[in-house]
Amino acid sequence: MTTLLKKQAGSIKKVSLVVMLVAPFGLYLAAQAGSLPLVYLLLGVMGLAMLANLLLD
Amino acid sequence: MELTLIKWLLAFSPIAVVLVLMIGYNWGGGRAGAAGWFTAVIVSLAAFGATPELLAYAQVKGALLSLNVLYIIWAALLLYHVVNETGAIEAIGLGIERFSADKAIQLLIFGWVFSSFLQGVAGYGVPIAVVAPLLAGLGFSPVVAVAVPAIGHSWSVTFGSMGASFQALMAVTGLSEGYLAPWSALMLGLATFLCGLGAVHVFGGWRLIGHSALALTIIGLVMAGTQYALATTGMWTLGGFGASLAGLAACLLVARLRPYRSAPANGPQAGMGLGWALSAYFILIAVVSLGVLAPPVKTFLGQVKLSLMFPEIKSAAGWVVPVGPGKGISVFGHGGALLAYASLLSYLVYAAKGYYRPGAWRQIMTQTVKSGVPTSLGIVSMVCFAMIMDHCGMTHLLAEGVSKVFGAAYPFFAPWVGLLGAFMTGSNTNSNVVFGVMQQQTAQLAGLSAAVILAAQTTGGALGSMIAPAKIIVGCSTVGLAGQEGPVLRATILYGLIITGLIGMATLAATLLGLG
Repeated sequence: MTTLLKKQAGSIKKVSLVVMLVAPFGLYLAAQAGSLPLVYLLLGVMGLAMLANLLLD
Repeated sequence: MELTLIKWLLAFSPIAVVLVLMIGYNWGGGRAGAAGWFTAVIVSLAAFGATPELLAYAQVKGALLSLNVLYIIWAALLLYHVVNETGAIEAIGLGIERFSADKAIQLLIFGWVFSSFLQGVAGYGVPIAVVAPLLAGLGFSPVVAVAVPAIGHSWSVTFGSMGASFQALMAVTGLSEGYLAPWSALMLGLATFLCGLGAVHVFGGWRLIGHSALALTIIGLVMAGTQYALATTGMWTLGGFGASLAGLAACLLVARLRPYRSAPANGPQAGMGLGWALSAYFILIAVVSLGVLAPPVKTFLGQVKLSLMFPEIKSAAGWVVPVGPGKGISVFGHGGALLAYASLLSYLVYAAKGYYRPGAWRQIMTQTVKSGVPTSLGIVSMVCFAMIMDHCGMTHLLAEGVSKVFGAAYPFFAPWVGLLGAFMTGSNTNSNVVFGVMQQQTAQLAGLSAAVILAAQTTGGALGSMIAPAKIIVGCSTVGLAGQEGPVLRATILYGLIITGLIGMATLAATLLGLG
């Protein structure tokens, strides 16, 4: 599992960068609509992208 | 919000986490930035009254700011790889080598001017990585070969890389180029001479400075003057690049003066003429000049703008961020867009001349993505946590504490904060993102000119490049010093500290005189 993750680190980082740049615009729409569950969900997605960054060297 | 030591330390904790991980554990900007982001989220929720809505809007503003900076960074990297793939960077180096056989002039041309030119068009460690092996090839010791460009190029970092660091400073502080550029260019102009002096001194001591004084004065005046002129006339994206290009022209003149006149060095010939090698940069000058100075073109390109309106955001602790628009992006008129046009035109020119091997386009894109992703991850994560800190009043609290502790002497320390930021993140841009707002608010609380203090911040951030381990490591790896970075760092740190101290004194003098 660790080896597989290491092999895919480059791709995962690219995806996490895209998520970190796109998810905030979903957050904007969710916050404007006052949908708290969606805000939590998208903040969670941002958190996952940051976590991927944190864990992969 | 009440200022207490505990609260101040909590507000400082995301920055402390990044500092410890990058300096103590050699983590990259992306990883350390993510750790800083988690720290900022936890601390803001636990102690500064952050709400999910506040975090959401802070992330949107962070993404908009990041896109503004990344647009330039990615386009600058694309242009660099479009040029490098033809062998033009090597051809420029060989062309310059033939200017003069005088060691002092060679050192100045490569270590001060050409490294700054590379910073102007690429950055991100490229100046040291390209120049160090060239100097080693000319007979300089490996330590000197890395230390000279590290010191020499630092002055051009803020307005280099197509002004990415300056763009970041404007983006996070919300201040205009008209307000920030004059003082920034002035302080970086002072740094131009000091970096040149340092680059010569590290090799030949005071004796070589005496021999180089005339060249340092002429080339320094040309580069500092050109940078000031470009930065204050709206062409700040070309500030570092244009200044060093003018510096290269001045070197041609200086090499013919009596003290430096000698037979040109004999070396290998490049497969491409200097004119063709530089043609991408002439295209860049033409495109940016048109996009910035020709009002009809500027208006036409500025028609599509991406911007979002934000409501008033209030934390549970009572900190209020007023209603207002986020940082807008002019999709076709942004500095990054102009760079992308220049990259495309340059590619077509080089391709028409047959300078590319088959499959070059794929190689260019691969290299651009490879170098762009790690830098981008660092910037996005740091901008996002900086925005959380800003929206919870954490940055304001930090500024209040710093202002109270240092009082009237604060201006002297302003460039040191920038230097620390660049040292820890390896980037002037990241330093401006992390500390820009704190410096701005500290200046406002202390009744000082934000223009002067932020100029000191970005100058310190630029000077941090000469001592940033991330950049020194890259340089050392190109001259066979991998794993032996200590001697180079010991050589550059002395100059970094002295030059930053002098900039601090200039900042203090400017504020005491009520300038700015």
